[in-house]
Amino acid sequence: MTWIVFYLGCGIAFAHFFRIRFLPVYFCALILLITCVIFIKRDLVFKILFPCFVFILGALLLLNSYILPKSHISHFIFYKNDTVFTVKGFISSQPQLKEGKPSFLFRTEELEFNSAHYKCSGDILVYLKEAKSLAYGEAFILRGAIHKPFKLYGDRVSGIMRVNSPICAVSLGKNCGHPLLRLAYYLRNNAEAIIYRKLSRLAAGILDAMVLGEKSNIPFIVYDSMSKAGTVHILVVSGFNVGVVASIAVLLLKVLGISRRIRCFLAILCLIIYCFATGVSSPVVRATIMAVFLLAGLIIKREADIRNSLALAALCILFLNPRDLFSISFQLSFSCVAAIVFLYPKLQAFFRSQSIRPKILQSAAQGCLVSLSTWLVTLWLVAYYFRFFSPVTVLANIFIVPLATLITLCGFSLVIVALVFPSGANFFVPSIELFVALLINLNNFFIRLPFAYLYL
Amino acid sequence: MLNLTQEERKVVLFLAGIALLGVVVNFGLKQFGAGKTVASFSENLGKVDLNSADKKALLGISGIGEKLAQRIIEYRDAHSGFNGVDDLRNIRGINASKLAKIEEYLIVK
Repeated sequence: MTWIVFYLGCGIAFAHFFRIRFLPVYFCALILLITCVIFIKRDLVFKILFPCFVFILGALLLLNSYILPKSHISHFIFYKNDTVFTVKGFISSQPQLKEGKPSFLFRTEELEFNSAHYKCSGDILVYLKEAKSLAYGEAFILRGAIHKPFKLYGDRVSGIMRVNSPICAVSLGKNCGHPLLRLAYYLRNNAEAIIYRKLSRLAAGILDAMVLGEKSNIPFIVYDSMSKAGTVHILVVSGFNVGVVASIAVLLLKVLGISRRIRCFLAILCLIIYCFATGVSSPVVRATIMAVFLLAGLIIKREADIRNSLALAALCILFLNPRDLFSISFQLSFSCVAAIVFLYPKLQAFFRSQSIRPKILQSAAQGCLVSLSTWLVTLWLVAYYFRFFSPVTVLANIFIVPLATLITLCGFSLVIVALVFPSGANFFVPSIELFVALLINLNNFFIRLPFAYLYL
Repeated sequence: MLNLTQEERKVVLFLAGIALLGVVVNFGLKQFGAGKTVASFSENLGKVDLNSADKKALLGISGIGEKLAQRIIEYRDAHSGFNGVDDLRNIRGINASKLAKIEEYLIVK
């Protein structure tokens, strides 16, 4: 499975760097597939031809993702445009408030301009001039100018629309959103409300990032210091959070006396809801797919292979959006886990960490090796994208990761306890505030060490 | 590396074939599917009625500021309303290019 993902990734990268056309490549893939079927019994021929086929399939996936349907909104708009468009559709993301002005992704369905009316598709980013109570899935007809976005906004945003008057945003009074996503956003809003009600602004911002993946409320200075120390990964929802959610779900269902098989099914459902609530980012999708396979393995009483689970997670993400291969979050997330899966056992054998006694020293040594293995793999990516090199990362992570684990556990406990016993949640508040203060001060201490980080 | 049994190879090739078919169907739909035109929305949707709009509604239109909104309301009161959007030309501060810019957002009922 790992090799299949490797060849697929190479194919995607090839199509990204070299200009090739869809149809000739498609016929090559078809011929290779037919040849593979014919020579299925020939070991050597299959082993040569099948990787070639997967490589070309990867290239095809990327080429196909570049082609937009004729009804796509980007065919109607330009970079500079004063034409007023009327668009019908629904809010496809969680609305954000910035300086009292809401913004959200809007899934377009119909479009009208210059007295012509079209069916259309694609998401646009909408900025409303005045605050309005909005929710995911709400159907609207909007009127305003739309222009094409620059690269900065990512792949998903096909246009930017500014609606200058409240009269230009007419609610259709119905909700077109997916019920599962509506539930996910409802739970997320409640959890966020609890976090911000109970904690100080700084602690709430950090906990919001750790538990729900919302980083917009973290002060720049804190985020910057964590980037320099190489500890910023704790602010991203990842495998650990998914593991905590799965454990909590399984434990609560066990208390209710539900059978093991149904417990696993319900835990999978909880993970999918959590994945949607945290914004379906690459790290959380990877962790969710891996956890789902682990739980599915428990259901059918088979042990999940971590390498295959990781490869399958990559395969799913790349099939859905091959352009994710070039996103920083995908590269960092997969390289970190790949380092733990492939490099860490080799380092463990090399340093003979399993023979260290007493047990507590062995655990500390293994923690260092995990940190070292992820650092060795990700330092190249960090240097390339962020233009700095942080030798302090390994040391900082040894102290910061356990502290972040504590904060995340306290954060989840705070939210769950506050839902059933609001005043009981207050017991967690001082601990979280203390841990967050400790985390920030410890991080600042590490980046003040000599040669903690170097700009390239 | 790719040490698959013959049964496993059949399954992998079947899935690969399905993926290849999916890619070409998706490509065909995007490449050869025609952009459909559908019935239009109400023409007045999202437009501000000059004869009933308050200052706040007028200020919501890009290109109309505090002073211009005040002048529009004063003109409306003095002339018992607007007969058409073109009447705005009679207001100081609105020339042809300005009118062209804001008339998309305005209506007279």
